[in-house]
Amino acid sequence: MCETLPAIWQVPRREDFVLKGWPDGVVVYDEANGNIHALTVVAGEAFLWIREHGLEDPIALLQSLADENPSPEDLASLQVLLQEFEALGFIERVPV
Amino acid sequence: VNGARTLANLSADELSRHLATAGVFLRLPPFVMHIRSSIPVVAQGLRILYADHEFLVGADVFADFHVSVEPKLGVFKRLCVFELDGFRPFTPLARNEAFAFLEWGMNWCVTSYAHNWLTIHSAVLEKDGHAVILPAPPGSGKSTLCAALMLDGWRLLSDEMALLDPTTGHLTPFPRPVSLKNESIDVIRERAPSVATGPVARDTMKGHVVHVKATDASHARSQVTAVPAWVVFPRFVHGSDLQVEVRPKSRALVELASNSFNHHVHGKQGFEMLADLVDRCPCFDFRYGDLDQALAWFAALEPLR
Repeated sequence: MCETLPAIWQVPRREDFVLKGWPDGVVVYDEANGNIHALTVVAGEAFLWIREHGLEDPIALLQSLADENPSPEDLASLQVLLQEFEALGFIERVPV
Repeated sequence: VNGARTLANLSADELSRHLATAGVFLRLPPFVMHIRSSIPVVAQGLRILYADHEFLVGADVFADFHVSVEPKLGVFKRLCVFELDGFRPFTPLARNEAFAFLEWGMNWCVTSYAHNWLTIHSAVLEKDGHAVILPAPPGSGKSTLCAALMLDGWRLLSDEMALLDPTTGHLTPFPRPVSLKNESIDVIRERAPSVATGPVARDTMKGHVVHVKATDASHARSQVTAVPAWVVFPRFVHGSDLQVEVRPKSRALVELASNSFNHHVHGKQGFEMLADLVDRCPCFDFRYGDLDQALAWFAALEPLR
């Protein structure tokens, strides 16, 4: 997909995922393949946020996760996280 | 059930003859196994380790599984094969492993087909109504600890698998002999010289293997379910002092799922059952090098109120 086209990150199979969270981490079950994934608390919150809202503006997500404005390092970390989510089949980019 | 009696009621010759011909319908709660074998070591193991189990007769007896371990001639050595309904899921093993092969095969039957339960590779024991689940990979010291706990008064539900009832969340007992390997055999025999043990399977893929009979108390309460109270992930480390740490719930859930044979069969419900189990039970990483220290820790366990 061409990265320059406007697109939004979405969770394509919303009903397939079950999340269980504790203060030490979040576990995701993917019913499509029976796989189970361990996430950090922040990654779990990010996934829930994307499932709920979709993700067009990464800044909005980062601001929802912290009280302060996101740093460039935060943005870079989020990009890595999004790539990992995409590789796991959690999210996909959909043109808008 | 027509005419139930125990294997102890059969002479060695009668048991061997039954096994070699029509087979034996043996009640191994919650299952009935129909077992056939003409190999003497199988009869020997069953006679020692399942003496108190019901042997069912009658034309209308139902068996959950029809299994056999029968001789096979290899080019260079005598072998045996395990069959379920005529299907051979495993490559043949040496003839002296025939009883152990039967035990492993019966475990495989249950974990492969008994999806009424969510099954987890673990030992399960109970005391005062509270059960501890010990999930662990092979070589972790699970069975040694399990045998020691059983001989210390804990009721054995299983050495190999937790059968978690999806409707109640309770654990269904499946008490069978505890499988010990190599050094663990002498460790347990030294602690309990009078304990009944089955035939030795030498030089298996796992080394020497011996099965220890489930205690009478475990067998007597094999119809009584138990409520999960703790999840303990054991690991034997030679010479180590006892080290116990609370395992984070998320890591406990991932580990439990990786030890489950069939959570995927139960889909979301299976995942939620495991998550609920982790939620309800304190979870620990348990590193031990001394059985007495380990037993003392278990003896002091208090369930959550």
